[in-house]
Order: sequence, then structure tokens, then C-alpha cells
Amino acid sequence: MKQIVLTADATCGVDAKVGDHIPAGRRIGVQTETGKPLIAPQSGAVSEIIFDPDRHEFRIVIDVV
Amino acid sequence: MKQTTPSAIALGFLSILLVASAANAQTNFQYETPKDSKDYIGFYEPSPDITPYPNPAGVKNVILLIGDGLGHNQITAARLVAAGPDGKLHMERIATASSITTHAANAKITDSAAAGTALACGIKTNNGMIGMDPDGKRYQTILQAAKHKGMSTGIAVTCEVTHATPAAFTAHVKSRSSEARIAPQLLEQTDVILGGGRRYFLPADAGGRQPEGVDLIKKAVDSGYTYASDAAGLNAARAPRLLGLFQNAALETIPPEPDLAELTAKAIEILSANPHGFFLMVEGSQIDWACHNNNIRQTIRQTLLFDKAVKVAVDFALRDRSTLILVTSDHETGGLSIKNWDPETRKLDVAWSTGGHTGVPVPLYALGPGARRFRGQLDNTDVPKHIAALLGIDDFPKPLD
Repeated sequence: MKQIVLTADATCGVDAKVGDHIPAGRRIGVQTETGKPLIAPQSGAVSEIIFDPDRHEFRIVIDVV
Repeated sequence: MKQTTPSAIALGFLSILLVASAANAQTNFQYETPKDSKDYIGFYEPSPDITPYPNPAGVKNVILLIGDGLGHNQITAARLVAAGPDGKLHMERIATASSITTHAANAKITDSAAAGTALACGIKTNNGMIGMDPDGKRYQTILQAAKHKGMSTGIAVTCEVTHATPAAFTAHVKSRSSEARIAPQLLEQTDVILGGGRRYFLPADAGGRQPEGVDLIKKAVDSGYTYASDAAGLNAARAPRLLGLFQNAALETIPPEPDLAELTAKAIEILSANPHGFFLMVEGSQIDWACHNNNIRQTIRQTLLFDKAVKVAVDFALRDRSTLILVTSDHETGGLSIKNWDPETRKLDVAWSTGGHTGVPVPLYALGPGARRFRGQLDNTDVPKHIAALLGIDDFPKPLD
């Protein structure tokens, strides 16, 4: 199974939860350094959301459909 | 209804029942705290007295304690579990209580960098920026202003000492992620530095992240700091300047590592030797992290570890009578709400609205000389301005460029 990992600034949280199906193009958070919307590049199911306190980011793991 | 004593509540904590369900982006948790446990918050002694602490006059020292991510409901959850609905946390015994708004220059929801800069420099900046305004103009922090006045200065945190909040009091960088650039700035005007983050002080060949072979621990020792890496080293330290880095990354907040209350006590012991006074910033850094994980058990534990440090600071202030204590937060995290607390079943029902930060005002408690200045609805930028005024520091906020 192909997975992609995206990182979102933790300040704004993640607009998805584990188990959600995310269509390509949906906004799922905010990019850390730029503050721009974080857009899912491919469709898939969210399998993990992990908080990284060091970088103050969420790592979002998506199983690509 | 059966009465529940604070001590019985503090002992009841072993079995945790978390039932999560999601609806409309809200997550509900049920949290059970049976009566026969003491392992998880056994370190915490609820106050047997709930009368307000007294306020003396004349500011010599300032201790600013920041609970990262700490909102009113995190405090409420901790109180219910540790002290009961009629008890009080130590911070809640501080009579002057108000709240502060927290927005950043470029966002209604702040991060710790912008909020830390507001609390340290008295200015709004963009999320991610440390010690400078949105145009990149550096501003003097209240810690640096205190040092310039002849006071001793310190920080004690449970995160890496280069993380956003301590950085905001000691450094000036455009991005909070520039921690290798923040580390040398910490050593410029901070006499006591206690927390995690050893890796940002060591060169790459020693497993660190300092470029070009720079060893900032060696540099610190060469310039007069005592270096401590464990509790024994911390206890033995007597020098006027102390660098204590107890983990490569953030603190683990479990023994044998010294806890935040011990770090606070040591910082006060060293800094209070200066007859001209001191400024100390203490941060309970990991309340925020627990809330990002929507973990109520850790949220309560980290809040109580922070409150234990508050008690150390308050006890010193009550003896010293010339120390201003401020307890506040940079922002609330998680959108925590309390749905129910059943003292008989010991179940705490909570809900989280987000895994991120929220824009609600956060608590501010003030104790000691000048405390009355902190009444009413304030903004986070007001906090260092009032501190500066009480310390007789003119020209604040002050640009450095």
C-alpha cells in the first residue's frame, strides 16, 4: 500500500480524523512555515495523525487509494 | 451525596476509562478516577487552606509562570481530580485573577512564538516569529530589560530551552524552528537556564545540532556557568550562573529527572542572591502537548506539575514579600470543555473541539506587590508593560534596531 505523509502546523489542528476518507484537493490543515493551506495531493484514508512536539506539527499519514 | 476529601481524590487515579466518539468535530471523553490509586498524581499535595494569599508592597523580583496551552478548563479539570470541586489549586488561591486576550498580529489563533513574544516584548507579531515585530524589527524582551537594569535572569522549562516560549524571552529569530540559532542567544543575558534541549548546544560530532563544531556547553562553562545534566548536578550547583540541560530533547517529566518545581526552586535559590533582584520565567511546556493529543490524563498531570512549581514560587514570594508572581498562559489548546464531574463515580466527562489552539482568553493570576495593576480584561502585550513599569524600566516596548 502506498502511503503519503503530510505535515501540518499544530496551531491550527488538522481538519480530518483517523479513518476519514480525504479526496484529493481537500484542505486538511495549514503548512508550518508558510501558513498556506495544506491540500491533500492524492485521495486516501487517514491512517494516523501524530503530534510532534519538537516541531509543533501534526504528521498526517494517508493510505493512498 | 457522599463527601469526597481532596486527599482521597488525589489518591484516586489509576484506572482510566476513555470513551471517544466523534460528532461534528467534537470528541467526548469519559474519565474515571477510582479511589484506590496514587501512582499518577501522587506527587501533588492539594492545599488544605483555600483562603487567598496576602499581597505585600514593593517589587524587587518577578516570577512569570506560563502554562503552555493552559485554559480555564484545564485548571478546572485538574482541580476536580486533585482537590475536588470545592478545593483550589495553588494558582487559584491567588486573589487577583483576570484574563488576557492572545491573538497574534496575523491570526486570531496564536502560536507560542507570537504569544511568547507578546508576553516578553509587549508587541504583537506573526505566528512563528520570536522577539521581533512582523517586519523583522527586533524588540528587547522583559528578561533582557531586567538584565540591563542589573537584575539576574533565568528560565526554567520542561521543553527544550530553545523552544518557542523560552526563546521569546531570550532570542530574536524570524522562525521558531531556528533552534540552533536560538541557543547561543540564550547564553548572552540569561544567568540560569534549566530544561531540555542539550542537542542544540552540542556540535554535530557529539550528536548535536550546532554548526561548525561549536560546543556551547564548553563555551558556557568557560564563561562562568556551572553545567548540570542530572538532579545531583543541579543540587550541587552553587555558581551565580547555571546551565542545566537534563535531556537531549524535551524533559521526560518523570523521576529521576528533576521536576519543574525543583528547577524553579533551584533557579530562585541562585537568582535571589542578587541584591538588585531577579526576573525568572517558568514554563509548564507540556500541558500544550497533552492537549494537542486530546489526552485529558496527561493534561491534568502536566497542569498539576505546573501548579506544584507555582507553589514553590508563591512560598518564596510569601517569605520574601518583594516578589511579584504572575501565573498565566500563552493560549488555550484543544478547546477543552468540562461536561460533568461525578464525585461518587469519580468520572470526569470532557470534550475537545480541536487538536489545535483556540482563541479564547486565558487566565492571569497576580500575587505580590503591584498585583492590582493586573486586574480587568487585559491583552497579553500588557503583561510585560506592567512588569516594566513596576520595575521602573522606562522605554518599553523598546526596539533594538
